[in-house]
Amino acid sequence: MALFIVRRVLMIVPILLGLLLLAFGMLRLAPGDPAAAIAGDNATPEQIAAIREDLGLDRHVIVQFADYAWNAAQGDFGVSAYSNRAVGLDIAQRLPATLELTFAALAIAAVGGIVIGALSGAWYNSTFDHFVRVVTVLGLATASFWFAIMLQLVFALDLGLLPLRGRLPAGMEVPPDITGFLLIDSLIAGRLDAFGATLSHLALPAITIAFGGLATVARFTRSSVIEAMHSEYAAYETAVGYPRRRVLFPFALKNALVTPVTQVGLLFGAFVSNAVAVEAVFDWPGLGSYLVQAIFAADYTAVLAVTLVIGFVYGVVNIVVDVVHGLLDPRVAERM
Amino acid sequence: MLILRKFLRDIPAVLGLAIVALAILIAFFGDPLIVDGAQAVIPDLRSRLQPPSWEHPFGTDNLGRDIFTRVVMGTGGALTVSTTVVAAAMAIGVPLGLIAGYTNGFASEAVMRVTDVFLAVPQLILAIALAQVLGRGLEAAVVALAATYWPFFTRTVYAETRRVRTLLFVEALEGLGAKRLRILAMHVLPNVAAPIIVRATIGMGFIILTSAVLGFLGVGATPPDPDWGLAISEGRNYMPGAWWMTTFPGLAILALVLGFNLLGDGMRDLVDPRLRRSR
Amino acid sequence: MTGSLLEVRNLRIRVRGDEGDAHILDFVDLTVDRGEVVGVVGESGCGKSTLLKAVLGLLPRGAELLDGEIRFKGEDIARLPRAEIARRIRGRAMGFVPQDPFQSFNPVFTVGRQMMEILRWSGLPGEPVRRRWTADARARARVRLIETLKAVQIPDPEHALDRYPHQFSGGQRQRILIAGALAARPEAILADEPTTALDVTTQMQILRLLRELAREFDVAMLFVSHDFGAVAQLCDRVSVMYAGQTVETGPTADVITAPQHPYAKALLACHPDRHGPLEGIRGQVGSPLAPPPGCRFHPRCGEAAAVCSTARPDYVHTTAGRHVACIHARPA
Repeated sequence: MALFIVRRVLMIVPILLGLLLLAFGMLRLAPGDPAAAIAGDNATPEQIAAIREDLGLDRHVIVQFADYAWNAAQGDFGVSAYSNRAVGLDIAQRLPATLELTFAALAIAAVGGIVIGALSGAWYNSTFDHFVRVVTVLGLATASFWFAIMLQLVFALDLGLLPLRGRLPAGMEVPPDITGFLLIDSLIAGRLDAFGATLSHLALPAITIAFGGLATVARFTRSSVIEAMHSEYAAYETAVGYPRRRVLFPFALKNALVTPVTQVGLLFGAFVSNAVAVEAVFDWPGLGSYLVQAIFAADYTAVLAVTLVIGFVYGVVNIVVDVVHGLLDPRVAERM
Repeated sequence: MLILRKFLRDIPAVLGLAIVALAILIAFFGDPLIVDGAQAVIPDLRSRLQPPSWEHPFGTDNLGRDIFTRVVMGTGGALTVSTTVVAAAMAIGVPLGLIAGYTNGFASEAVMRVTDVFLAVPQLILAIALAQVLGRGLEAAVVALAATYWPFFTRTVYAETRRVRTLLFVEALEGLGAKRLRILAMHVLPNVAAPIIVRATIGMGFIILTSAVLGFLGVGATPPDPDWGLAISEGRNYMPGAWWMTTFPGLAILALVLGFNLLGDGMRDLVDPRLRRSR
Repeated sequence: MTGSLLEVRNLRIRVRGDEGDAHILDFVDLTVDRGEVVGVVGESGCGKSTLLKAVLGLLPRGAELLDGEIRFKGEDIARLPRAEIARRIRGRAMGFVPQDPFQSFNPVFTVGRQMMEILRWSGLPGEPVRRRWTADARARARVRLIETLKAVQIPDPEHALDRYPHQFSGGQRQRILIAGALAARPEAILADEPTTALDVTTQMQILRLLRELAREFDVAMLFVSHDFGAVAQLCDRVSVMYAGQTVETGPTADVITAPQHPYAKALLACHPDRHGPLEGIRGQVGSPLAPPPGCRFHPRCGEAAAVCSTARPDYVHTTAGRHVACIHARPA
């Protein structure tokens, strides 16, 4: 198992290198001269040349790439031509907000999707099952940013049940930053008010992002439960006297979970994508709204840095998923 | 015609086909539905932000334009974008997948590693970055979406080609001295066509969703395009009063994506009964 | 009450389907005495597996018992509620060995966990099923499983319990499945073509093992197969089925050396181990949806007479312990 994990981790290295090359290529492709942008409108050609040299833009492309890759590996993605701030620091500050949001969504989608899908599969063709199928089909066709606005309209603006935007109410003292995850930080600080406020602020954006993923997980779980219940081993288990409820749980269900779990990695990718627009809708101070700001400011350095960081996090999540897959299904680790 | 009969028995798939067919009809022959084409583009401030009524079934927007007309006009745009993107992604992805799947060695390895890199970042994020670099606007968005969607075709075609290649008849053909290109075009391609078509149908829905996000974020269509994603973003500023400005374009996206998804699911069930989602 | 452990009499089962009703079992007769090994042989689709499912109360939805009875120790179990069959019969009174050792294990649980579950619901031998599966009961169950694995010649049974199914070869898996059938010390074992999925040498070993175990555990066995050779090795008596009907029963040696029903003769002539010219049977098994009237074999039978297409022939007691459903059969 340990060997399997090491191999799996090593597999990500060439992919990250390729990703860096892609980002670097796009950065070079981007219109405009970053040196000119930093120097400002009234700069003389000498000043711009000096900044070019300062930024290392006069060196060979390969040297520049090596430099970019080396710095990126240390979390330094350069200075934004727009804000003059270090992009790496901005991202580090905002990443926890996005992770908190996507993990909350992942938890909702995984737990909700597995429970709903398993029930739907165990009683397939029941009224409940038909209802679930309609809802999941709709869930997969819904644009998340639009769903976000609809939820805001109903639950925040019309009913006033949940807050409209942000992570905490304006004016509430933010718990000391330890992990960056407000749910955890507020508990560490013993601030139950902040914990509750965080939860209520988290609810709408997390549900929005989770909706489509919940549909995916529910559909996969449902069909794999049905498949497992019709399998040879389920027939055997029945024939040797397992009660029906045991054939379903835990025996069929653990099997059926293998497929949805492998989907969680893909889901995380979908969630991060959805988070971009959903964060913009909810003014969530995470990477997504940072990306949107960077887009409007034509800040290529920041856009590509966010892309790289998301690619890295995505890779890590996929490793974790593969390891969990290996733990669930003993055949997987041996195949690698 | 057994396959047609099986398809017609699948009610959700038929519903999907009906939605898609309706959207295509609207895109081509939708003009009579539109109250007055000019109303969709020319602002009329006297009738701004009107709620749904008989005259304006979906209401009017902040510039007094009829939203129903703009949603109808947006149908063609959504279909054009998604068709172009999927066609371009197929044009890149399918040949690469065929080559990578059919050959062994450096070319095959290189193609698949590049595919891995593209798939290592969520497609939307990569598309945003690329669209941004290419300069904003609809064309940039289309190029960015196509340039990030082709790996999905490559991977599908690669796996299928590997499977088909091991089938005996391809080996036999090579033994008989048939040209590689001919084998690929005449024998392998028809055998991998079905999964490509399924992938493309589901991809249509996916691209409609993704391009709506790009429009919403301002890296896709630009005003005064009647783009659905853009319309939702414009409507946000008039919430909660003018809820109709965001609601109806969103429902249009939902309906069209639903159509393609249902159709794609139905076709997958026909093509591969193994993957049948036990409907 | 007769002395037989398992008795199937005149069993008729109909399945209602989209395309019409199928009489998948039509007058099936069978007895298995204590400690006896009985084979059921016939082509695929003749209803052998359905017979096993019927005994275990596992008929598919839409299947209907038209007539006949299945007696286990004198009690008619064919009409027991399913829940009761599940509780009293499956795994507990009758063990089951499935056909495919590769597909029959749940891949994500250890074999120990899966075998343990059998004992959990059938109860440890000689004990009632417990409401609570205590650590103590589990420990004793484990001891019992290790003993049973030893009996089926699994090396290192202690560790075998903690391994996953894919870590065993096909033959070993089949041995473990046999151990699963024996774990609760049932009075009978039903085996559904347990050697079909294995290679020939392994088949031989498994057949020999089954033979030994039947004696060692004093357990009756109903062995279903399409392979006359396997039946000949293993079974005391054999029952030949064709298209849902029992056509001939008798001591294995007698049936093999001198088959009396035309179908049994034809089937034996197909067997490659037999000396002499290899023959096929002309025609195909009729559709169960529209079985030929009378004797179901008559369209393919070389000895058919006019009467064969109108009335199903009664069983004729020919020699000791032999019954043949054919108009040509002569009573002893």
